[in-house]
Amino acid sequence: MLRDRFDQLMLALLVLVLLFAGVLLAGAGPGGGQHKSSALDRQLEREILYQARVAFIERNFSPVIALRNSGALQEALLKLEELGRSLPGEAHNDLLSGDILLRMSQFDRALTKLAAAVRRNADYVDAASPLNQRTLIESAVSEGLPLVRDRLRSQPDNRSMAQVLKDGYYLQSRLAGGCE
Amino acid sequence: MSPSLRDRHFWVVVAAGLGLGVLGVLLAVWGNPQNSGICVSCFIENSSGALGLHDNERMQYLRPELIGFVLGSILCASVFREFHSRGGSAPLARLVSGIFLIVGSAVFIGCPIKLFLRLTAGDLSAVAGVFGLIAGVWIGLQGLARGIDLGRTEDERGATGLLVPAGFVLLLVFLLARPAFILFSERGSAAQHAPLMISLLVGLLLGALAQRSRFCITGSVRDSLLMGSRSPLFWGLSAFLVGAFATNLAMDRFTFGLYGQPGAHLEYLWSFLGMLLVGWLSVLIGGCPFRQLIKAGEGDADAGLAVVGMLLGGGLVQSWDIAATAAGVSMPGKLAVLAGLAFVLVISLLFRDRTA
Repeated sequence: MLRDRFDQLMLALLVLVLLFAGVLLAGAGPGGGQHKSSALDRQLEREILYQARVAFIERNFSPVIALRNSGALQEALLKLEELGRSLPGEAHNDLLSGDILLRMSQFDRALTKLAAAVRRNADYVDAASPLNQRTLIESAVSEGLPLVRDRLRSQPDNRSMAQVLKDGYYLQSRLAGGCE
Repeated sequence: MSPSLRDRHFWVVVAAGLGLGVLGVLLAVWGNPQNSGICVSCFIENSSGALGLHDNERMQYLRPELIGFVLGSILCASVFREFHSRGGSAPLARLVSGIFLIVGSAVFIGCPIKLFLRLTAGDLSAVAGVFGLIAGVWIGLQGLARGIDLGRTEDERGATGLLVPAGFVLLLVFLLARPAFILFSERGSAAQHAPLMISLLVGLLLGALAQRSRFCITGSVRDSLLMGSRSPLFWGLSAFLVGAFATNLAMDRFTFGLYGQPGAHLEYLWSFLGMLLVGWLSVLIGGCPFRQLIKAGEGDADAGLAVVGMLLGGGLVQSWDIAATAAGVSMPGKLAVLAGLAFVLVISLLFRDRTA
């Protein structure tokens, strides 16, 4: 393999390059530490953003949660409508709507709202997330799905109810896990 | 006539099928996502995310199983003197094929291995995918019979066949050293994984078995269509199905039904077409995503390019919203499958030897 000087030169350079890379990896190279810290910052920044989002949700929706806990469900829904104008498309709005509608035994609307929430933010079915709402969603599915099925049996042409059934199956599938 | 029971290769194939089926279920028991103990396309999407090729924070993890498949294959091929660098057969077409293998799988939500893992766990929504895969393999075979050929693979000078395995050694270093630029999800399905060493050892074992046996799902479907029960791969696939089904039952992982299945959607047409694309492409390039990894480990640079395409595809399906979810298939996903079918049709026109 090493027939002439050119081969030997290439091999020597290869060893040199590998050694240099080793030195850099060992942290002896200038600027290596700085690059590492910026990459670490990226992970940290991601985590901070997530924590900030959780805190933002808790702060903005705390009046709704207080109303819900005191049993003022209609007022809580009105407050959510108001918040929806300042925070359009926020998944937590859909989640709390679903929660409140479930307490009002409006299972079909609750399923639709909860499915919209999970589509926007899958953390609600993630046991490892601080936003985890699996218990709420499981109870909506277990109570709501049989009722929706019954209603569809008596009204087979009811398209909106068919959509609710799809939403229920979607939630069921997300609760079951699997790849995303 | 069935293959001889005294034939050692027959038993290696059966062991590979059985191992893939049983361990595919057990990996989910040990921590991988439900019904996704082994899913090459999901793992490729996770690994692409870990390398920064997409920014879905829930899909980033360097899956040790993939690394194990390639390294198990190269170790086994080296021991049995079957490693040799080869390539040069329509490399770019294979690279793009790798991308579309992941597109088809992502629209179905799973590679051919996961297709049968889902089915053996009682997921009836996978049936459309089974029909799609069989149809795709059958169409691919019709094409081969009519002269479609990507060209001869030739032995290559140097050691180009080592490049992809070397890349996977680097990924192993990244996985163990966890440098800051490699991303690991803390939530979502990529955060669900079996213990690292178990995943790696299972990957190495299955990689070695698959290298010795040449077992893969689409190859088994192809040989079953061509030779029926005379093919050892037919028995390998049967062992896979029986092993996975029995393990799912034993581990209380069997949920029979159409609705509410993990990682599944109800858009049957797109499940069918996604798997049709995967089956068709797999026949043309000589194996499903799993087999491409194994061949890359044996020194096949063409398969290596398909693997590179698969990694690119893993990034694209997440970044471009192509991957389906339990909510269904997105418009970009549907268009990507149609683009894949257009691609394979163009390949069929351009690479056909009409002299025969």
